[in-house]
Amino acid sequence: MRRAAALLLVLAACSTGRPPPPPAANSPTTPGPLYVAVGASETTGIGAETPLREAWPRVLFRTVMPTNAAFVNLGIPGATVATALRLELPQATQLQPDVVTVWLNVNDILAGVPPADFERDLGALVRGLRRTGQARVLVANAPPVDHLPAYRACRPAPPAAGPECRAPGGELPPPEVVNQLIAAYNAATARVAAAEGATLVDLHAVGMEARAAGIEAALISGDGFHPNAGGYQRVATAFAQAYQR
Amino acid sequence: MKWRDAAGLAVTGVRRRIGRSILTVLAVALATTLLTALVTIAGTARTKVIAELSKGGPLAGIKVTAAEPDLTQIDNDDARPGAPKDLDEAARGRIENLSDVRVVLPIVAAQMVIVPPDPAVDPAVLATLPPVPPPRAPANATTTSTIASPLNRSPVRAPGPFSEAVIGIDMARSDELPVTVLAGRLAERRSLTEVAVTVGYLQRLGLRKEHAPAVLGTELTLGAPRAFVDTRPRFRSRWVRTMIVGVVAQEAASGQFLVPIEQTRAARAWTAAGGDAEGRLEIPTSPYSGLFVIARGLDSVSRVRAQITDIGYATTAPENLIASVQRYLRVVEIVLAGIGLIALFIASLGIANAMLAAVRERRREIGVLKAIGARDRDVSRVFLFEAGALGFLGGIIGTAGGYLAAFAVSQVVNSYLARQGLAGVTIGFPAVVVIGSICGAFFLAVGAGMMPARRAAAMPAREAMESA
Repeated sequence: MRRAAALLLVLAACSTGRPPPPPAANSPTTPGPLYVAVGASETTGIGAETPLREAWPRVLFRTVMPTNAAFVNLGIPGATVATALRLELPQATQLQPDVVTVWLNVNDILAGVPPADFERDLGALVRGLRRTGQARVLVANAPPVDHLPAYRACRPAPPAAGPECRAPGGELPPPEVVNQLIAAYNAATARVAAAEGATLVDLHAVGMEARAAGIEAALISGDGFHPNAGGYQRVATAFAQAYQR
Repeated sequence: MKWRDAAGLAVTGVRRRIGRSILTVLAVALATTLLTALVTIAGTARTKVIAELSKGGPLAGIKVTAAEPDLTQIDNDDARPGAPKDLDEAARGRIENLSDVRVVLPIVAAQMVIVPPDPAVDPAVLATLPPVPPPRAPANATTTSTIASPLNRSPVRAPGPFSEAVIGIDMARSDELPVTVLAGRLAERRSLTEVAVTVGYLQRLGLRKEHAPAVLGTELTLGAPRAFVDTRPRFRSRWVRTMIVGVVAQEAASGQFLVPIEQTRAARAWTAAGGDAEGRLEIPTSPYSGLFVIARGLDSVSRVRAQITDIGYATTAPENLIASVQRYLRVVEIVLAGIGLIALFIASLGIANAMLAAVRERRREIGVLKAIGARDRDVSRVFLFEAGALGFLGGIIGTAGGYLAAFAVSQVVNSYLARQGLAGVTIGFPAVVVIGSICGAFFLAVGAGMMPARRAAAMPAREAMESA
């Protein structure tokens, strides 16, 4: 073994040259913008096979941000806007980001937060993140949920092959009620974005487009609730388009 | 008798027995070829290796850790250091000022989470490279997707995220780094977006050294953790994107990623700003994780290590391995020279045999020479001249053959080194070897012809004529 190691060292030492290096690119030597993602389980990438690679903020970071940008994901699974105000906003403020994305609404809907409270808290959150205009904030509205397997599992006559119902009461309101609630949430999100100078990301439209194309089910992960890698790719694309507007 | 006459008689003798003369010359030539080739190869290996080691190659490097030395392991080249001890600018300055220290390279390491890209290689480049060996699923990697290039039936697995030390080096002194670049280049000085990976990363992908070009241009995401404490400690990473610009053969320190020191400093600053989360996150206090000290020569390594130990830091260096390399090289030289000398001895026996046969066959000529007044030394001179001429001719042919043999061997060795991703060697053929080989063959032949020449000279004229 020692002889083999010695021989390898002899060979290594005999190698005096190096292959010619490729031409150096103009590699950044100063830090770029800081991007912070505020959100819940979708923001952390739950539902993707490799969240650290496939979560939508990571796709956005890799595909849109400058190469010298840095990224911090503050998402907390299960977080509502109130949770984010309490736990994520202080951390985001401390980091002084240049770009912030916010996708928080589905947990508020599930928790029964009234749209007015949601609007108030979301306004405070975006206002805090904007830091009087120093950061660019992108806020997403809620996608349609009435076709989600996890929702249909909490309605009468659920599909046999779908996931189990995990709603606290064992049953969720009918689609018309849920859609009305989502419409109210999305209207509130649009008002907050307009009032605080944030950019609105219309995930509801993205979901409806997928539904019209007949691919909505293919974008949902096995838990019947979170997007999969393909779904996150579409979310990232929607954020990217909004960012580049 | 004049030398000229002796030379003429010698040439006449060679012409008369041209077949045997050619065979004798060939014997000398073959022996000289063998000796010359062996001496050249051994000499090249020794000078190349020693030169590389002496000028500060990987083996002349001493790793200094941010820890106190463990004196109970003083002769251990893989020492377990004692208590942590900060390695700061002052310590670096003291070590730099030590005699026999050629250069000191500071190292700042940061433990980071690495997210390889998917796909992890450039399929177009991989298709131009040797086939990828059958995949072995790494224990700590999750397979997310595979690539099967048209020419590589074996898929390349994209490993899942993993934690690894990222090594930061001052790239302004990258030419001093004791690493061999297999493909691409090292990161640009102060670059925040470039990284070089080691062969360990290739192995993680199930690739070998020859596949190094396939990972160039792919992008890694590196995350430095920080603890945020709200209702409970949460670990948030600061992620940056880096492009792989090179693959290196050795690790400068324990870690598969080599980056400009600015990157690891930023990562450590991010981690340190968050606290240790009740000891769950290691926050290094030492400004430097370690130093890579290169001694002025192999002989200085022990002395420099002792001086650094006296300053109060633990060191490691492959000293035992260095000694082993030197010992093995010496043994190889002795064995090769021994083989060459045996060949030359056999060749000299052949010359002596040929000359004895010549003496026996030329008794009449010896008798005639003596009858017309030739002295003993004149007769001896004829045979010595003949032996010397054969040796000289064999020496010239053998030296040329030795160079060709050494060149052929170097081509085979270079082909092997190229497959290993290492630069080749150039066979040196110094004048001393050329002159030594030719002169050696000449004098050996003269020495071998001495006894037959003496016998011819001592032969009485009458007896020579009668026996003829």
